Amino acid sequence: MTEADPKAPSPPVAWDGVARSYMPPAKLVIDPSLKLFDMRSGQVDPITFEVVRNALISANFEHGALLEKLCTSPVLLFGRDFQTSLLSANGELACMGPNLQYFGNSAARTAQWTLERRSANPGIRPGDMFFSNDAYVGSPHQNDCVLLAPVFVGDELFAWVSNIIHHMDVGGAVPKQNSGAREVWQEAPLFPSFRLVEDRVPREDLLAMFIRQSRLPLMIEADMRAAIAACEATRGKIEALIERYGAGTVGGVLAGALDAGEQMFRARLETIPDGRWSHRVYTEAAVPGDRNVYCYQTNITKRGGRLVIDNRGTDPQAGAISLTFGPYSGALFSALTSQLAADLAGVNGGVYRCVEFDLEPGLLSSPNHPAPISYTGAAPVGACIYAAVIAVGKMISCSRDAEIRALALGPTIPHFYTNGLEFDRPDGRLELFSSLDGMFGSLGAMPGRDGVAAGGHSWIPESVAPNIENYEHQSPLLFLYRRHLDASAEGAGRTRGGVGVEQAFMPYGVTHGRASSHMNESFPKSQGQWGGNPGSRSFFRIHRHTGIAGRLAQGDMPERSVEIGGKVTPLAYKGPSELLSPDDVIEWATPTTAGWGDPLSRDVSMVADDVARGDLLPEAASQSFGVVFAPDGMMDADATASRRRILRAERMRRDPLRDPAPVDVDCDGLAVGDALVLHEGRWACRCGEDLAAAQDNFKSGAIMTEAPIQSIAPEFISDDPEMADLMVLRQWLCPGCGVRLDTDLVRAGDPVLHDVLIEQP
Amino acid sequence: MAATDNWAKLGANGGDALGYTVGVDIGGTFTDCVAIAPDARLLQAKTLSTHASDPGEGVLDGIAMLASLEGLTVEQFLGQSLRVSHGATIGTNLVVERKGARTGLLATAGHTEALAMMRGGGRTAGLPYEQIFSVHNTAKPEPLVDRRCIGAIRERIDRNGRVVAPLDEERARETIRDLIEDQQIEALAICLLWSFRNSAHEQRLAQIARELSPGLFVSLSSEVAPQLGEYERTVATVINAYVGPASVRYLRDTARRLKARSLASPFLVMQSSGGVAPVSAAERKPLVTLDSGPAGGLAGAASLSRTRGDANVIATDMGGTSFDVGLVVAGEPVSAETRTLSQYTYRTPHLDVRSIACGGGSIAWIDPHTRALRVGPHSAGSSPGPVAYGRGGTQPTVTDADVVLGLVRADGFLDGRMPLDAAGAREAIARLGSEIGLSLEQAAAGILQVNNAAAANLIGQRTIQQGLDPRDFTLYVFGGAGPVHVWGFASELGVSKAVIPLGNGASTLSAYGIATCDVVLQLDRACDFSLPLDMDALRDALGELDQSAAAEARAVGLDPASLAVERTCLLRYRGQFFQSLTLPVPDPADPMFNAQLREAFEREYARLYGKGALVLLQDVELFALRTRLSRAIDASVAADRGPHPRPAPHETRRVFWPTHMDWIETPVWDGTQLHGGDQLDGPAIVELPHTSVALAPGQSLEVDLIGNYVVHSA
Repeated sequence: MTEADPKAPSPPVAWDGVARSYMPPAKLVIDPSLKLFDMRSGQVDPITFEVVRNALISANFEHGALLEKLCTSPVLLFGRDFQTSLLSANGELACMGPNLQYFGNSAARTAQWTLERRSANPGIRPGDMFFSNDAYVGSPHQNDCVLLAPVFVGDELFAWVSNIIHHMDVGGAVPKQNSGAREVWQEAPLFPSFRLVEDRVPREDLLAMFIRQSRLPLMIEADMRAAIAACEATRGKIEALIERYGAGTVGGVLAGALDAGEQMFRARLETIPDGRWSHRVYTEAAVPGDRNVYCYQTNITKRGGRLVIDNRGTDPQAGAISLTFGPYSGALFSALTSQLAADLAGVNGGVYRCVEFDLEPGLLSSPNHPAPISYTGAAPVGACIYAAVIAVGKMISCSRDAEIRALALGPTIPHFYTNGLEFDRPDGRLELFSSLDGMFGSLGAMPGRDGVAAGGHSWIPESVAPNIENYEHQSPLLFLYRRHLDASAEGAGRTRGGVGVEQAFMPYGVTHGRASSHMNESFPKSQGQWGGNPGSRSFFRIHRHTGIAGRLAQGDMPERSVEIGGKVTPLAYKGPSELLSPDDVIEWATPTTAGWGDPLSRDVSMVADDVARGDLLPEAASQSFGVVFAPDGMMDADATASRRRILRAERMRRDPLRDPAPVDVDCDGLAVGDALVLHEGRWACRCGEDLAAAQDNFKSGAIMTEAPIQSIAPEFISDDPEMADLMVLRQWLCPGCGVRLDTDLVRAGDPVLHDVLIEQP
Repeated sequence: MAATDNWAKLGANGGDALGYTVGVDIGGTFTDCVAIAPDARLLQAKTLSTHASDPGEGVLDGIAMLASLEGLTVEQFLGQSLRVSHGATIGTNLVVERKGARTGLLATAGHTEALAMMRGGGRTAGLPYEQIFSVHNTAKPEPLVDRRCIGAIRERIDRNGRVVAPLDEERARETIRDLIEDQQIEALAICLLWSFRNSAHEQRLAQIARELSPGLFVSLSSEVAPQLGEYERTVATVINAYVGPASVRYLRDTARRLKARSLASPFLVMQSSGGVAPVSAAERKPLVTLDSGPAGGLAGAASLSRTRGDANVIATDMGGTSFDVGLVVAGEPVSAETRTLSQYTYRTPHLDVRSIACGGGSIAWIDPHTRALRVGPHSAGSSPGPVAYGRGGTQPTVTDADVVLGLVRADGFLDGRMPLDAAGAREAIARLGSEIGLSLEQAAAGILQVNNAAAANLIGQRTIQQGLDPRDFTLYVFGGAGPVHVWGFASELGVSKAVIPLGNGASTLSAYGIATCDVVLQLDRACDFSLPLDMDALRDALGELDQSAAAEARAVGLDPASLAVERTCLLRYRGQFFQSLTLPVPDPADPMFNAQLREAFEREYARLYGKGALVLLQDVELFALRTRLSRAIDASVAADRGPHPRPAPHETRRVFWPTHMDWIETPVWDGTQLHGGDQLDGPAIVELPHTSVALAPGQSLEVDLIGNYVVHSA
């Protein structure tokens, strides 16, 4: 045996869906026995085009409505944890419903892999349906099952009808997902695409094989049958459309709609100078007990009408916090389409054509098999959506067109927060509870308006959380309260992030239970955009020995955290499982999103309104926004101006040279974000202060302060200071006026990122 | 009881007394009034609605017009009326315009923010598909309740109805007193967790509130919407309170005015669930009057369909801004449970009428990306309206296309009271067409084709969702803009028979439906049963429901023994939440009860979703029982069949038919000259005072014995 020559070129990376995630080649390799319909064979007039386009979108929308009606899994019903789509024969996304947007690329990748690997054997035929839950092929994680129904015209494959639904439990070492898995074999099995339905009839043997893995076979069977029925009904509608209008016309509409989306997206990109934009987000604990912090980084390079996405700067794959290409690319696409192409209403494939991926393998967002991936939905996907939304937002902020700049959505919720409980039923069966209150979400601060309190998620257009009565009907729990979080320094900015939701609940009518999964954050994961404050932490606390049952019987009803009483057990960010007794009360929150712009630049009258409405306490108004109220409750303009100057001086550690310039006034050059201007080859602050050459990092000319996050406000003091101190908050301040140009919430010691790089200003 | 005599006049089958049966529908623009005369003639009147001042004025104006048609005074006319039934949009308008009462809300402590949190989904609830994707263009709606008017009540009941924390009456009294005295609330909504399982705390709070303020309008969730789901229950209870005081004021005032003008017979109110109810019932639950206009249209279609023998009907109402679709299956209008108003979602049984924005005022535009012709969702509404209205509208609409093609006559709209600007319409559509290389006619025809297809899509969704084929239906086409497009809908759906109900009455069908539908009281009782049912528990539940229903009937002056009783139950697989099947309750004495119910559930489920969707081992749960007490009214119309000259067209007009893409010389008929039994062939335009019917070449029309126009397509 000879040793490998280190200088020899390394073999090309195999993105094959086996050793690594599947990334389709430029041209799919499909068995010649399968013919694909040529979408561009027909001409369509502008009237028929609209008639058929509307019918296709409506068929796909009804597909989702049917799933919602027939399925029984609460995760699916309330979590909108499903998606329906219509794909062209070669797997381009022709339309997608208003459900989980990061599922957008999973059906397409699975269809393309199926075309490449299954067209020869067993073959793809009319009346078939293929099933896959293999995340290395395309599905987000094992629970998210892709169903694909090919639509044929004669012997030519015309399109695919697809749905993806989340099943509550599909087997593996622990219920639902395994946040402690070290390898994929400790999770539910992966089934790469196989033919589940033949001649429109499900293969009962294969269906049973899949259902057999689950702890909840009844629910899985109900939902599998619902998914098959809904997919078949929709395939019928597409077949009827082809029958009526002809394949050439329907194909022409698909092609035309994709082309139009592509042209629209390119035209919007053309308003943005070429450059590169990056964002980093951190999570903690790769597995329970781990006390490290991990980074996901997303970089967008724009040249003309094309984008290249790469993940360099991301940490190597570790523990259970990786995600494969399907959900990672889906996260990117959802960030792009929700901001730059929302008017396509899900006809997104044209946008996808403008984007390529250049991923470095072996990182958290591009893991090699056998990295475990079942935990994808909780932290990794949310983190990557968040990083992508901000990176895209930075890019959009550089547009020369004010209407495009206004499309930035601001920071999203950085993880999908949930918790899981288990109860042993008297009949020996396991009762699983998954909190879906993460669905309350909150919309982040946008350039032109505040976020929306408990306003859902930008990437789940129709998110809905369950009623308390739904929870108590299905699980042995009693909820003490559920309310908005208070507005405070968390999420403060020129525009505020929407507040999240907090709640307390207890086991009820059972002798014991287990808190099997939770997320008790040591530090917030979302930083503000263009100088906004970070959002809040999600916490999960167990109060023991509360005497709650007796207190309730006496009419003592806790309505806030401080009223729960008992003794709080310190918990790590994740697991291990905790025993629960009926005397315990769990307190939990899904966080407030981060702010946009310097809170000291917030319109004074808006702060006064916040206080008048009861959204903000006067102390927080003074501390975070520098707005001062006289004892009679009226806003004091002089005191406010002076307080704001003092606060800016405190963070600069010297007096500012001048007051900041207003945000909403036209300026010479390209306005970027709230306070930056790119003019005549230089970065400057709106106040006139010169910062740096255009090709350099504007941060090089700013004052940088670096301190633990709690230094900006006591709200950020952590339950776990040791973990929190692994992170620092960097503030980038204008040396002239002291306005906060940007913030970075980073792992201590991580290099400064050149995150806004404009090539030809 | 004072009302008993009046009710007796209706009789079990109503027909023994002679007099007018009157229906009134207050719409956004017009107030429609119809009366069925003792000799079965249909009388109609259309007046402008008077929302701004006093909607009751429009009602009396309309009734005065009906009276004058008969050469009677209002007093004579009302004195000869068997009943006056009324549908009003005032409740809906109060919500949409946020002009309802200052409403207080009492909720279980710790759960007072449920209404504001909207389950996280209120930002997009009920919005059109395109808008849902656009985060920038969505926000939560303006609140219905000022947060200072929400009181926390210390009490807690669990899922089994057991008291976990007692009601703290002393603090509750203070809270309510604050709301009344400091916040000056005008109505109070009470929605406690699990109150539909145990309403004792809600009842007690209502007592306290009435002690403190005897006249206060109080709305209890356990009475208004006794179903699982505190958010939807709160919304229903709050809307009920929010529209309560103004609705009660309006109904009492109108009843008083009608009585003062000699109405001695019952004044009835249309309910969104179908059926009319006595004013006293509507006063207790004004929520049921919301959207009763569209419900009236569907009820009218259902009533005519039974007379005509059309078992399955797609009822379409095309007006200026929207296109509404409801279904009648086997003679019964199809109902739904979940409703979204102004982004607030609640549950209450209602006739399922769904809308899309494709009415006469829908604006045509060119999609800049696909270069395709699109129509709606934006509408020119009634102001500025279509270009042809000449009120400043510049964007071409569906009505403009009708004018360009000659389907609507430029000088004859609305009885000739409103001449149209045909040149303006032509110019606007020509401009649009030139953007994508279409001629004037091609563009106008294209606008109608796109609009017809959107309407057909909605119809297809509705029927296919019910597991039915639209081709098995008769299409009923009404509303001001419907009959002009009947040729297009029919061919788009492949239906061979369409009906323009009551001919010219098609533009006042809601009022007709309101006039002719049954008196109905409906009550729900939530339960938590699994199949097979424990028969004792079921009998207990049914017994309680019967008692409540009888009490409700007596409270509004009806003798329960004189009412027909129909019991249904709501079923779903355990775990489903958005799904429900409503099935008749089999006879509890039948030993095969459980087997019959399970079989009926599975048969219906398989019919709707396919056999493959059945889950044999999954529990089926019965989550609500419903009882419907009704009394039918026998009031039918007949077309004038007296001897009359054979009608003939009075002129011809060039019409561009999108079906043939050509100008065709088309005979124009005066619809008022048509009688039962008359027939004519397309192409033809039949002009009526409030609308016109366009018959394409190859279609034919006959007038049936009730006065409906039946359009046959080859």
